[in-house]
Amino acid sequence: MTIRSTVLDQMAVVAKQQNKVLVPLADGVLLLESGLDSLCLAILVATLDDELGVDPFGSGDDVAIPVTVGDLVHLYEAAAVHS
Amino acid sequence: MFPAPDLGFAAVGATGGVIMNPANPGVADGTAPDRRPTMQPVVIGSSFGWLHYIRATKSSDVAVLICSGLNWDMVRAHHPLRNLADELAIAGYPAMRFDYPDTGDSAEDPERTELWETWRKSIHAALDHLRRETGARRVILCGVRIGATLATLAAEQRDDVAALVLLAPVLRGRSYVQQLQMQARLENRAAVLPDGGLELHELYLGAETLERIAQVDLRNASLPPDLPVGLFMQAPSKLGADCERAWRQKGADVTSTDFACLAPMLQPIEGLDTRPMDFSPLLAWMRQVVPTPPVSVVGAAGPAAVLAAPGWVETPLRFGPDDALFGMFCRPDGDAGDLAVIIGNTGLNPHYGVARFAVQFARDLARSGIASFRIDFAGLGDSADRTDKIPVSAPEFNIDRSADIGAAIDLLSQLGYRRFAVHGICSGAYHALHGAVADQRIGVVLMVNLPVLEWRSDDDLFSVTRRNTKLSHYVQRLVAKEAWGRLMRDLDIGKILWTQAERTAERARDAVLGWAERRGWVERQSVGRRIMTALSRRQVKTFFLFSSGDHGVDAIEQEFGRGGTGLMAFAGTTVRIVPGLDHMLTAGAMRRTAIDLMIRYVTELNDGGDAGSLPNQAAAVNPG
Repeated sequence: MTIRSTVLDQMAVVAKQQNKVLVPLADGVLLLESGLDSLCLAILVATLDDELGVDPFGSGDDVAIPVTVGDLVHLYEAAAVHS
Repeated sequence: MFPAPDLGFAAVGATGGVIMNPANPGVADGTAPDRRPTMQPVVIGSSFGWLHYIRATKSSDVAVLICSGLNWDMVRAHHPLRNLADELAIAGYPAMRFDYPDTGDSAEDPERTELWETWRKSIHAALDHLRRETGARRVILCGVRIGATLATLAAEQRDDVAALVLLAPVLRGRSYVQQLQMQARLENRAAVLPDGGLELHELYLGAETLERIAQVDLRNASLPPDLPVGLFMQAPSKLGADCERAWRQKGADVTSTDFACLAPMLQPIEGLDTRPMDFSPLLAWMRQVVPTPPVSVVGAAGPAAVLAAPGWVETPLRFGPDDALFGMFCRPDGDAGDLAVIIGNTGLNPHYGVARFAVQFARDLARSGIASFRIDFAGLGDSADRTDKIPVSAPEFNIDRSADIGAAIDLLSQLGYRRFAVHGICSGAYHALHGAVADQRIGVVLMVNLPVLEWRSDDDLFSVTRRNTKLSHYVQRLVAKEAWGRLMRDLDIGKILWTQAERTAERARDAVLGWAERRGWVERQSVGRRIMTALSRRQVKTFFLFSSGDHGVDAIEQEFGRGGTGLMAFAGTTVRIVPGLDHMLTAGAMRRTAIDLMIRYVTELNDGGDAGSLPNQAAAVNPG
């Protein structure tokens, strides 16, 4: 699986687990408009670390929070390259 | 002033350790005492909890300890876990659930140096207590989310664990810490506090605690050989498969089972189907791996459950018809006045409140010399499920909670209290207001972010939001470029425009009627005005606290003008609109602000002696 497909799959998994309706995902969709709330996005970050073994955010506030789905995918793609 | 009430603990020993409504002794769960589960409150150190058992099976060879999650995982699973404990008891497994120190109804552990270790120790203390109470030789550990992690770590250290049940476990502490940090960052704009710790809702996790959690990896767990492990996962995952493989290699008897029937316990509560969950797959697995013949021995009475710390004393009490309702009575540790505050549920969340607001409010009230009773309405938290036929999809507003509030006042009256305030947040505020209309004993209403004055029978959350949202809110969203996408996708423009047209017409009509009303030509008939007129005539004090920008402000302004200034016509009304509060008061500073404002208000009333002593404070309006 590619990083992109893993990220998109996990977004769908988290949405289902949290009883949320996900909008059709595309790179330009805003994360906070995707149907996921802040708790869902936090769970997503944890799940992606478990699945991909990368944590692009580290433990601090340095890395900007991605705004769109595309930003999120690119962030994990870049982190995977550097890990 | 009068001394602390006698709560009738003499009755406790005679009734199997169950805390009764002292004025209404009997079996806590009503009829058929031999077959219905009894919920016995327990205090283990600083932890509060419940032991569920059938009276014939309190003594059993094996008992179950339920370890809850934290934060939303705890709040959402609270009532389902109550029902699971009942079902376990019926199946012959006495079951205990408890709140870790610093969570739920528990107190802080006075000796704690670090939370993670404190929580781990609390599980061992709970297991020892459970074995003593039930006579069980073996225990089953059943944990949810991070509670499952704690349960696994406990199982590594004990030789009395008969089985381990893991419900959507956190398998790797590092990713859980990431989740907490990301949530804190999104909600508080900061993941890490200056001291390296983290604040998220009611949790203050120090740097050392975060580090300890992050070090946990259940793939490395050393479980006892042949230990049956039931792994109930929300979704297949690589990590879950790795754990399963690792535990099997070490000799554990792992069964991976579908979690689908349990999923609702981890989903948002609002709007959720509230029918009892189906625990049968879990119970079937348990019966298979740890069969237990019921032992026909009636257990001994447990000690009275009282939790105390400097400034406050708490006692769990049952009340209402068949003692089916539950509340935590909190009083000052010294003398108190005759005023008691009833704190209702926020939405469908348990009595301790989102981010433990109700616990903090109750204990601060006690430190100010005022008693309180934080209750679970029927079907919520630790109260029994409703027996009537309310549609399971009905919004919380559709259910009349005034009888539950009235029953709480009945009990407090029997304890000697004479003046009553009622408090709520969001839907809790709605029930407080309507409860005050229904019950003439209520003299004070404390409302935080009251979303609506009137909920019509055909209302739903979307129609009410549309009706109460100003057109200016939509205009602001249109101006925000990035909002266009969602606006066009999600919002029904036609419905919004129609609702706004209706709203404009209503406001025009209100303006004309208001003008006529001021001249005494007409008497207004809106529900909101009828409520305020009725309460004002009874000299009830109403305190409206809003976050600026909250939808409730729109609802009040629609009825009473900008900043709710029209409320000034009703004696005894105070409106405060405070910038920076969030709707559910999840951030610590916001809870502090709201609690301070309400305690100051109630204290002034309390010092004044009678409800009529406080002047009209509507001038304190602070338009957002």
